[in-house]
Amino acid sequence: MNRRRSRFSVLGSPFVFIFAVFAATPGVDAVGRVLLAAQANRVQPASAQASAVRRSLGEGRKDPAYVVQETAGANVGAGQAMYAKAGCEACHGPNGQGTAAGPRIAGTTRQLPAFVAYVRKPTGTMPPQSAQVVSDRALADIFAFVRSASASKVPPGSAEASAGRAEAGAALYAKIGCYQCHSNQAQGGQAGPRLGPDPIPFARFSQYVRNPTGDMPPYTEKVLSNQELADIYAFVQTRPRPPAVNSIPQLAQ
Amino acid sequence: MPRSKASKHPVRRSPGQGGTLLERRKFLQKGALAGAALVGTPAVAAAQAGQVAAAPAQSPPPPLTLAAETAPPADVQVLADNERCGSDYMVDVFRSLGFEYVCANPGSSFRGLHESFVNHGGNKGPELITCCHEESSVAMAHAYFKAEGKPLAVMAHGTVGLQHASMAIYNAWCDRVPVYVILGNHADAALRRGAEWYHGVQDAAAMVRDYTKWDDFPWSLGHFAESAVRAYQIALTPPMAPVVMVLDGGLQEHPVSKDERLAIPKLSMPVPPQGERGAVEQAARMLVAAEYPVLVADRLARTPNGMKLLVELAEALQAAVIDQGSRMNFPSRHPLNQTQRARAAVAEADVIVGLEPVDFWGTVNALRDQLHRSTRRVAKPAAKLISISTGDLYIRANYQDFRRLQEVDLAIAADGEATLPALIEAVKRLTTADRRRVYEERGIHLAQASRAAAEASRTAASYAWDASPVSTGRLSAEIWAQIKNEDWSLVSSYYSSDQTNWPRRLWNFDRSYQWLGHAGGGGIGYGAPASVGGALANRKYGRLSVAIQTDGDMMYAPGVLWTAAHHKIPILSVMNNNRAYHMELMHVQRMCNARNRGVDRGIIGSQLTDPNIDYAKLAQSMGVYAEGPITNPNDLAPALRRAIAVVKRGEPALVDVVTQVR
Repeated sequence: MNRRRSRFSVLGSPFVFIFAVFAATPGVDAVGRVLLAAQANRVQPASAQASAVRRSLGEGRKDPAYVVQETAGANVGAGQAMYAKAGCEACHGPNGQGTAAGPRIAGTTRQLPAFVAYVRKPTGTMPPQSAQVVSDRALADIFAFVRSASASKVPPGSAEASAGRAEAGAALYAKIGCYQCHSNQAQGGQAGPRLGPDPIPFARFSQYVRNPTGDMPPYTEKVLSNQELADIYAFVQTRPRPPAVNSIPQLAQ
Repeated sequence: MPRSKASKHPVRRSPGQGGTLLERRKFLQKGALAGAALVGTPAVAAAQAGQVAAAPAQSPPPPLTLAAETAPPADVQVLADNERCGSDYMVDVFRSLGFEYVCANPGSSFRGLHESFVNHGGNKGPELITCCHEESSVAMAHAYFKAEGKPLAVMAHGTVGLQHASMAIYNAWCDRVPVYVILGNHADAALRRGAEWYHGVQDAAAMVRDYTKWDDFPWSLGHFAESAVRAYQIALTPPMAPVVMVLDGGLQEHPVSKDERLAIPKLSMPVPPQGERGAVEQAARMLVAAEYPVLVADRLARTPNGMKLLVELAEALQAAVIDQGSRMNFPSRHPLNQTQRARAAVAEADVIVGLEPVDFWGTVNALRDQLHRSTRRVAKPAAKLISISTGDLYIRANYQDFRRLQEVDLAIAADGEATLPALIEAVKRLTTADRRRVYEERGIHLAQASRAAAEASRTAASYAWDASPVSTGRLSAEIWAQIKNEDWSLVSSYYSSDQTNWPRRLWNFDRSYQWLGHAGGGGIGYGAPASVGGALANRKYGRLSVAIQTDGDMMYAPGVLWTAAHHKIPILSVMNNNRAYHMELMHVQRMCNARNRGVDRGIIGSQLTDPNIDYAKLAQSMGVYAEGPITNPNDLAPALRRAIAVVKRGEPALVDVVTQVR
């Protein structure tokens, strides 16, 4: 039971690809890998990644072959649950509206076979999702949800952190104990990596807080609302930048 | 605190019965001193003594009381000119073992030995160090050994003193550090004063036998001498560990004739075992053939030579080194030092050598601490593992400090440091020109990686540079700026891995005494007394001893500050005062999260606030120069400079800094 659960939590996560890319990263635990993922994002601009994914998905093309087919028996509600469970929202946002890490897929005009083919064997940075993890049926449900979803139906707090209030976030950051591992200014500590300034994209931040793949304890919506999480993100985003290392005499070698 | 206020009172005895019992004790000493020929006699003597005690006063005295009849009157209770006491001889034996200090909180069960140390021994070699808690005595001895390479003696009551000392003994056991524990005990129930009943025990060492290597309760002075020397030899033969000598109060206090020939056994230290030649050759072949060998050192360096040998082996191979920090194994800024990227180095490795590893399993595997715990292997499945460890030579059952069993390809049961010369020789002999070219390329890659890790550490320390409370990165950087041109020694230990330990990331450790390892058993309360013990070892060399002192640890037994002041032990103690037991706070938070109950109440029971503790006042009250609490990081450098000036005058100083978490 134990093994099954933990196996699922890794394999079923969209962070498989982050894990794969950064598993061998020097001296970095799972939390750190996410941080590094964010750094990698900065190296390759998110917009470039997203457009590469869009190109590979065929979006933007007006080919009449890309007409949505109704899928018999597909269930939008089940698809929405599966979308969350499989972690699609980490990159594509809670409603498929897209984030810095993944393109908008809400209201897609793609056909189901192409959708399935891409999910099974992505050509961009998206991690492949095998049928053992997300069955064809579940994928059809997800497709139905994504196709029906509108990017405007964004739940509160899940929007980008600009909606968050850094001040409220500072109090929450202390109250819920983020500082214990990440230190008071989110600069990182003995048990947790630096979070800000320049945090990972909010969707990924949120995904990790809700369902961490490393040692970090998970925070569910029951104990930390989406709005509160956005506030904390705003606090992390607004941490002051340090002085240049070489301008600090105490850090001279 | 002395356990008995009545310790100066002479033993009360009735004219008839008391004299008889006195003689029984005397007989026991003489009988045992005479050697094995009389081994069976004490029982006879006891029986005879019993008969005498029960006999009418007018009965003829049995032979054993004749000496008492001719002795000075019973009210003259001083040593005769032709006598000496057992504890004087004990001190002679202890002096022969070369103890520099004996740490003790005074207690009546070893009052005889205490008096002999200060008068017969002249309070020199060893000198008594007055401690305010037995845990402090042992922790001081623990760290002293790691700085000096020689053990200290500790005296304590066999019951209440040992109970106080036991956690610190466990720390030393887990750290495989010898501490020589001397316990007082009154075995003879017929002669115990009131308090000695509380302090009397049939088998004093039983309480710590699971985490000491050897103990004895000698029956005579001759027995004592052999056991005292044997205990020292056993304690210092790898794997090293604490030992216990239980010394009977009567044996300490009762006079013996100066005519008794009491020899002091010669101390012959066993040579630590070196790895078997064939196995060492095999390990060398594996290392020479490896593409990415990694040397993981933990309790490796027993002596300053250990670090030199590891440097020589690493350079001969241009191999990555991970210093897990139980000892000062490898220079922190050596280009082959990959400690800051240990997990990556292990993941790349095709051959991993554990050199006195404490947790080899945890080095090549990871455990995820969530509601459902899971493990995964970090090392490549095909990576070959070699261990060179005295851990294979000795293990105990009850306490679980031996860690999880790691399957290895070659286990060499031997002392790591003693085996390195043969391994180095074999590696050099087997290295061809082709292999040397591979080594050199590897060395370039590793040097780049360690430079990048060092830069990352400096950058990490720059974040929250101006924050208040002071960031722990800045705390370490500020101390480093003040000490880097001194002959310094970091005498404190963090309870953390070496990847996240700021001094190890930022400071240039390249001498054996600059890092004294960890507590061993993770028992908090080790840090403060250990740092004073390390400073005590450093004192005669004029080193600047520096401690980063955590607040929770300090509050276990802050009296060690007084010990430092009283004995003029120079040490700069900088408080990492985060006003909580933060590691425990994180554990409670983890439980809050796992149970989905919100974490905001997780701080209850782990914080040290309301009121805040004023560590400067605490230190000042015990005669220690102190400043603080400092909350503005810019106030730190001037305060450190003032405190260092005090330390350079030969006194302790404390700077209380209110810091962020860890």
